[in-house]
Amino acid sequence: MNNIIHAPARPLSLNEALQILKREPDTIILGGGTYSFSGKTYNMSERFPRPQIMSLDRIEELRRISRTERYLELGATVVLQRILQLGVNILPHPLYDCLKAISSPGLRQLATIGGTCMVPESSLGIGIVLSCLDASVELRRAGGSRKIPAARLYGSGKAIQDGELITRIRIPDLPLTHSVYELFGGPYDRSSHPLGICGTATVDKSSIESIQFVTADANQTIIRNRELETDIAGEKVPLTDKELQSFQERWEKTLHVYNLSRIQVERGKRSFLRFLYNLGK
Amino acid sequence: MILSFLLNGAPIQVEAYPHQDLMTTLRDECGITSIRRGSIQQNSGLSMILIDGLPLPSVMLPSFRAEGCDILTYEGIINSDEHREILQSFERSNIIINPLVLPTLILMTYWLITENRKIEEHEVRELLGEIACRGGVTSRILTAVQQAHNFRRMRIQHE
Repeated sequence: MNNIIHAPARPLSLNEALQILKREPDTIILGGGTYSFSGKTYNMSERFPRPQIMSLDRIEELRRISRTERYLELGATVVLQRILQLGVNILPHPLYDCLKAISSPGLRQLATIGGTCMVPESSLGIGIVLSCLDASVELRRAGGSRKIPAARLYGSGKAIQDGELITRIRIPDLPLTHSVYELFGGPYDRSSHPLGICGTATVDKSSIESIQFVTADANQTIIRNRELETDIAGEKVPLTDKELQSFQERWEKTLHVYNLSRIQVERGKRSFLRFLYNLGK
Repeated sequence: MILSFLLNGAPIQVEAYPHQDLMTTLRDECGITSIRRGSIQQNSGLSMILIDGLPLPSVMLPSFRAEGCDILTYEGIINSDEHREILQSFERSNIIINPLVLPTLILMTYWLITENRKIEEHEVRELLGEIACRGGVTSRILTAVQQAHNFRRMRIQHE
């Protein structure tokens, strides 16, 4: 056993955690620790002496769930199983389906929502769902806080600055009438052409009030065409064959901009068409 | 760092490395050999233990999280009546189980039958699904779990 060992920090308050992070910026932050301790990143760091670990499991503030008429707010270290226990009446359908599809109940008892968002492969799971639901993420640092859209976590730039922590995830309570969440392939197997798909829509009196449709590959930017969404909103359902074809072609063009395989493009295209078709049912 | 926790009912103190997972600590420092790392990535079923009454994969848990916890492993239930009843029901159902998988499967079945609530079939399938080998959770395994539950209930009623 090594002689130079930092005992893990287990702060009891958020301020304490932020101070530690300010003092030691390269601290390894653990929510549930499931990703860091999974085979993929076993041992976490080759640096010697190893950086200090900070576990957020004792911070009460980060384990809170609150709900108002307008949104659902989840603390960053709320475990996935506890979110699932809220049930499908409180959780948006795609979020429920996505969390249910994450591994086993044992792992869901450990994995936290904040940690899950930070897993690179989660762009095709929780990433697309939060982006589709227009969720926002609260980031705190010593002496300040800010909110960013969840989709920015999966962008090309660095969304979280040094010394910042994810503290809350806010999901707007939208009156959704249609939703879809699908995951093709496995995030760790490139040969399965992984692709995540999430769509939500509100249809009222045979008219599409709003629609969101996003897709993503593992470790990649979230793909969304807001212009197309705006054009579809306001259309009457069921959509005509001509409209369906036109929207599908525009979506296909969007997919071609990104570095997706032919199979992924085909999957994305067909899922989009199926979703549009189902809006009329 | 020194960790103190209850292991199979006995208080224990072990030295553990903070970056190490709990499974490694339990295997190397406490001689718990019934748990192991799964061969398939993200497969943590073979490392399941009961921590404060909850089934959790020890391979994904940092060692320091064990501080002050009550940990139960397969070694802790070997001499229990439930263990005998589970084995009996597995034998009656003619299930052939990989010996590497058996300890975790028995421990999880122990948890299922001692939980004082109704556990739905899908929960059983989900929990045992990660442990049971290739064949998945067959109806025979489900029957065996149900039978073990009945054996235990009958014994408690007699007592």
